Amino acid sequence: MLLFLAALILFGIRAGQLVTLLTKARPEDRTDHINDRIGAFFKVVLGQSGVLRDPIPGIAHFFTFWGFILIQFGLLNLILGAFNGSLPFLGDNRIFAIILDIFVVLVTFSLIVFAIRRGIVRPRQLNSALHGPWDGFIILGLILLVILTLALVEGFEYAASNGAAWTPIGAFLHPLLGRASQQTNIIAYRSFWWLHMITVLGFLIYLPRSKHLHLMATPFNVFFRSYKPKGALPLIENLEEREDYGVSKVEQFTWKQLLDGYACTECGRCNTVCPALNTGKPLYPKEIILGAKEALFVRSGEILGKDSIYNKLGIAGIKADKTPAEKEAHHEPMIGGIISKEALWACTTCMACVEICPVSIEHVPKIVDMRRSLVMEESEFPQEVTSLFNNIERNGNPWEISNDKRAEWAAGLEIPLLAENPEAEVLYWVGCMGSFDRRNQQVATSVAKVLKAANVDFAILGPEETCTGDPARRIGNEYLWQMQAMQNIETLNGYGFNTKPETAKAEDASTENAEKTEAARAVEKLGTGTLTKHRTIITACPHCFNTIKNEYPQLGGDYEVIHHTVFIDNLMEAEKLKLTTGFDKRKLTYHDPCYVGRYNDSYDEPRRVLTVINDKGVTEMGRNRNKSFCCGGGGGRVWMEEKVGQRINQTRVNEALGTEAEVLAAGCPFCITMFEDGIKGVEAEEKMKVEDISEIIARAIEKPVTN
Amino acid sequence: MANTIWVLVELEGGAPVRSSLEVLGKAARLGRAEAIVLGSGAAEVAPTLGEYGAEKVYVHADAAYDQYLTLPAVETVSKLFAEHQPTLLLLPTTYDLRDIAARLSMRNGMGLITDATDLTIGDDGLKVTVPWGGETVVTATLTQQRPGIVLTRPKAFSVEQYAGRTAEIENINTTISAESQTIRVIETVEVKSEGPALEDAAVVVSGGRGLGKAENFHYVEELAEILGGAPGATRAIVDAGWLPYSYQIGQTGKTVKPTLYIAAGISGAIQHLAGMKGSKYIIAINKDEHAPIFANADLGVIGDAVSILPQLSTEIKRRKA
Amino acid sequence: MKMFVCIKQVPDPNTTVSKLDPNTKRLVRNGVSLVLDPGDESTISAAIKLRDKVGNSELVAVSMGPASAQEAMRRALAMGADRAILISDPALAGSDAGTTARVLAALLKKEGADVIFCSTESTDGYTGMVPGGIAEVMGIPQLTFAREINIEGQKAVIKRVIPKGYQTIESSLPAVITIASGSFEAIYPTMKGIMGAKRKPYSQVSLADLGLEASQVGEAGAREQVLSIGTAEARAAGQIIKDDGNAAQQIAEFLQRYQLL
Ligand SMILES: Cc1cc2nc3c(=O)[nH]c(=O)nc-3n(C[C@H](O)[C@H](O)[C@H](O)COP(=O)(O)OP(=O)(O)OC[C@H]3O[C@@H](n4cnc5c(N)ncnc54)[C@H](O)[C@@H]3O)c2cc1C
Ligand SMILES: Cc1cc2nc3c(=O)[nH]c(=O)nc-3n(C[C@H](O)[C@H](O)[C@H](O)COP(=O)(O)OP(=O)(O)OC[C@H]3O[C@@H](n4cnc5c(N)ncnc54)[C@H](O)[C@@H]3O)c2cc1C
Ligand code: SF4
Ligand code: SF4
Repeated sequence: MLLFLAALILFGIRAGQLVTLLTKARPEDRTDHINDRIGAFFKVVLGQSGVLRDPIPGIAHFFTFWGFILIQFGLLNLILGAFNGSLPFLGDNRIFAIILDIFVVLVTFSLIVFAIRRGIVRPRQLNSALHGPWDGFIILGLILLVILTLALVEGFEYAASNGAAWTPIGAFLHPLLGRASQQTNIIAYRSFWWLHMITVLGFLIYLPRSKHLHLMATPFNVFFRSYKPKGALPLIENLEEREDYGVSKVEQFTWKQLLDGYACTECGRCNTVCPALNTGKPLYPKEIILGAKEALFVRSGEILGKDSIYNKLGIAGIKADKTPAEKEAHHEPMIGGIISKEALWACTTCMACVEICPVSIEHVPKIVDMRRSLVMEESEFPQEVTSLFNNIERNGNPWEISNDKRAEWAAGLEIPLLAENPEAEVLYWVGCMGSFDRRNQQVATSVAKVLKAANVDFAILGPEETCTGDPARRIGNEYLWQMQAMQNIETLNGYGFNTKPETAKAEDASTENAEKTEAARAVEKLGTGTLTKHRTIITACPHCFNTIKNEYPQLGGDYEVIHHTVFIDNLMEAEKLKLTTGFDKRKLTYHDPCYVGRYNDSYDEPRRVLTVINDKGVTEMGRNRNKSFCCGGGGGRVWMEEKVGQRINQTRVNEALGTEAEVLAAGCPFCITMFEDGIKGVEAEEKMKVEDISEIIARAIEKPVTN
Repeated sequence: MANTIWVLVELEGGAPVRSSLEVLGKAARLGRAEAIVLGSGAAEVAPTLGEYGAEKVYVHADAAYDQYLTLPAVETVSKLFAEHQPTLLLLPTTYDLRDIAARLSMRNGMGLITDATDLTIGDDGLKVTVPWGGETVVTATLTQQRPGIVLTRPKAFSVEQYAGRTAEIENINTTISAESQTIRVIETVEVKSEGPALEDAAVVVSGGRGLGKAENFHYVEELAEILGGAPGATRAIVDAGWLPYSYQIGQTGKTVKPTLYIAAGISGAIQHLAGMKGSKYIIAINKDEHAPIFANADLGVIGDAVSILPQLSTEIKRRKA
Repeated sequence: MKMFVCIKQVPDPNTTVSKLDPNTKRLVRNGVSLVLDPGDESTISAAIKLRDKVGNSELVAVSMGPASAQEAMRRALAMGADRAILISDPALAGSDAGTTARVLAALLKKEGADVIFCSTESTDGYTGMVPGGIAEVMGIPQLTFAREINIEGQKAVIKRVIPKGYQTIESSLPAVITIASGSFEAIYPTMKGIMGAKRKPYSQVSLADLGLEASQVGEAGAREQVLSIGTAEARAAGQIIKDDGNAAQQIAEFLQRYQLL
């Protein structure tokens, strides 16, 4: 009895410590969408839908998970049995006994599968830089011991009770255990009963310190997962007044971000899909999560504080360092130590890791939070980025180009500026690439052609448009993003594009002496009848799209924003755009831009468009849809040199070449740049062309030839 | 009355530097040219300056000038100003003469015009041509009767020969004060380099994939050398392994703003333009008339870079000779 | 040690073609975006580095210019300067390099500067005459084209760029030091810097505060005069030629025409 109590207290302290640590972290509200949360809990936790995406370990995990739960009931039953009691319904229920034993067998097989994976197959993603392989094996061993002792308990109980305590395994083992005396059987039963208990209790105590902490944390992590738009990075509020910007110390993460660390199963799925890691960069998304957890444990003593009960008991500091040498070994501070700066800068924010993680861990916001600290607190970032920041701030675009020239690409195309046609239904947000980059000006021209062919009443902002700030935000310069965003929101709200004008007005009033833009004044003159009209912003840049749609609402800019590929699909659906089906005869493949696909779940629309226009449809690459492999340009990477490993763009281009398609269809200016560059790099200009979907459509409009 | 134009002649390794001789030639065209030579080699150099237009040479052969020219030179020339009233002190823009001009003008309350590409002295006085900001040319003058200083742009004039002219030589009788020797040269290090560093070069010749193969890059290097510039590259050929990353110009490479940028076989992607758009004059050679680089070029040549580059090198060598 | 850095606000050289007003013959400042001179950004960065290395020192940014120059001063403070002083006075309009130097020197003398940093030349006026002028008025040495700076006791030691390499030179303090362009990476301000800049001391002084007379400065004090302003030989905008065998000659002629040989 004492043993139980001691074990439970120890477990309680350890678990309590972990929970207390979370309460010391930053707050974050995760109680929205409560019904979805409950649903997800059933599906992901009980249904194991996350791990099942990877079938072999997934099924094995499924069995182990449920086996473990059942064993807990079995355990209770055993304990009660020792006091001559039993669980209601289950206690003497043969069906329960059968199910339990089936799972015991299944778990045993699963353990063998796991052991083979760990010991023989050894997939790279299971490695951890933070601890050796032993943790995994200890756990496997402990589970095995639990199972074995349970089997033996059952066997001897059967023998001791002369078959009264029937269980399938007991009956099966009986002959093997020999014909010992009743006395021996009882002693053996008792000993294995104790052994089973001690193993389970040991497991319980070991649990909070091992990767199997996820057993306890995952259900919570899944329950508390984010229901905000996936593409929205968290806002830093009160930039002007705060003392810190981003995360440099582990306790500056929110509790949910830290819970991620507890919940990580160390399965390494995120490593398998990371474009940076898979091209030789020193970024292991799993180690980012575990690194934060490790950093938390190392600093736990300090974080809990002197006055905490744990410190008083002298047991705080899950991994407290006592000597400088230990500190050294634990790599303080977190950034530049346990988590390398190179890793943080290598991330393309492609979201593949987040997408695949079976337990809803969110890597990207953490990476960006740490970048924020580097940029805004330390002014430390790849040197190439300085001119990007300065240019966005001064010129409203990433280059040394005057923003007055933003509409020059449209000269002679008869595209009205919004200032000239403030009532236009659709605003075409051209973006910096479309406005200034020669290659992407061709895309902009095609988009305009398509809009005209469909008789869309549209306009562009021209010099009133300025960089959305997306690259700045992904790189960690939240301040610059907010400045850009506020400027654009003012312009867009001024023209009446806000779908929630009331909130916008409230914001307006609160910002003191908010100067009215030209636009605002123009609209004032024209009256606000425009507000009632259904007005849409479309853009060919997924990065502009994502930040305007998902992030501008954080600052009071709520808009209907549609990516041009989706808009084209809508136009075709509504038969506003009639195209010769099968016009394009070339074999083509399609690359899902991260910010269209994984960020905003638009996988079908672009494909539908391409399937109508191309008589062969889309020849898919191996990694497509939510498994699409990044072009390498996101997260501000397109503004930095790629000095380590293979080029991400070339890796993807080679995959595209593998389909033997002649055309790589894209829907993002950065993808186009990266792929054209990659194609040059692998000298495949003769074999493959990169085209934006709008360019393919525009050609079909121009030459509506018969088949 | 003839105008008297003074020129302070700089020495390098015991010989007058070319920029000083160029300006001396111009001074002789404007009026009576008088040179000032300071330093341990001054006495030997002085007699040779007549041939370059000087009618008179002030000489002070003191080793103090060899240490650090600025302060002693300002002291001595100021003394000369106290005794004589030339019309103008004409100086080429060099590292040292710039420093000297700034101090001289302040010490003696002189007017000063910089960056001149030409000047005349007529009945209506001094007129100095100063190109300004790319699109403008300013004509300026000095408002005082006292002598002024004009600094000329490098290479604005060429060396002229005044065969048979011999200059009168006057030794300056002075000693350099201690205050003018407060700057000490500890060491001088010559950095052997095959040319200027990419970021500092006044001329950059760059190559791209249009050169066809790595071996052809030497045409770029050769032209850069002849023009006294540095060779550069696009990322495409750095990636292809023709050259190390240090050659890369662009968004994620180096930013250069030379006076002259020659782009050979470069398409003109915005990532490349980001690193060289600020160049004063851009010449592009590309065989594709639609290449984006032409939109940024002052002179665009539609043609084969591999054949034009060596021809250009030959042509420039011929013209320079 | 009291360190000073002289900075200037200029029309953004990257996006604007600087123009002169034909009437006032001065730089057009209206309707162009004005920024802290990019060259000065490196100079400030060099100065900050030195201040931090020497320790126990203050870095003050000073400028002579119109009130709008405050923005440029804020940037300097955000980058890390400790305080800023702007000399602003209507009478200063149209000053030449000599006057600029005299006015700045008056302030620097009053403040008791030990080290004065300048860029080699500004991006808009680029006479390069101000730093030497300041040194002369103050009667102190000027160490120019520095690519490395050290303070050793009461001496400044710099590596000075020269055409054939560099020389190490030293002088007593106070001294004016100019920075060779491109030798120091410009600091990008941190958020702390940007927010802190709003709280750092910022003052504006007039001519009278410096004991100078309006008649000595501005256009009145200038010894140079712009007679006329013309347009440069129209740079044949985007002249495109086809190589018909003598492209090399045509290029060479272009080079000669613009004195590029
Ligand atoms: C078309 C035109 C032609 C001109 N020609 C002449 C001329 O021939 N002679 C002449 O004397 N003036 C001339 N001027 C005026 C001259 O440019 C300005 O008077 C200016 O004050 C001198 O500065 P600069 O930019 O040339 O300085 P530079 O000497 O090039 O500046 C070097 C450094 O000194 C410091 N500095 C310079 N100015 C200031 C300032 N105002 N505040 C703080 N620090 C500063 C900075 O560190 C700067 O980087 C001309 C002006 C124009 C518009
Ligand atoms: C993240 C990222 C960063 C980048 N950073 C940089 C950077 O810092 N710097 C940089 O330069 N690029 C950079 N790029 C690459 C850039 O996008 C272009 O791919 C690259 O500049 C193209 O180099 P190029 O002009 O040599 O090659 P190409 O674009 O292949 O152009 C070759 C040109 O040569 C012409 N040509 C062919 N044969 C001849 C001939 N015989 N004579 C004359 N002309 C001929 C062709 O018409 C063509 O215009 C970056 C790209 C990415 C994605
Ligand atoms: S973060 Fe998610 S995917 Fe990555 S190792 Fe942990 S549990 Fe697996
Ligand atoms: S977002 Fe993409 S690049 Fe970044 S860590 Fe995740 S998988 Fe890797």
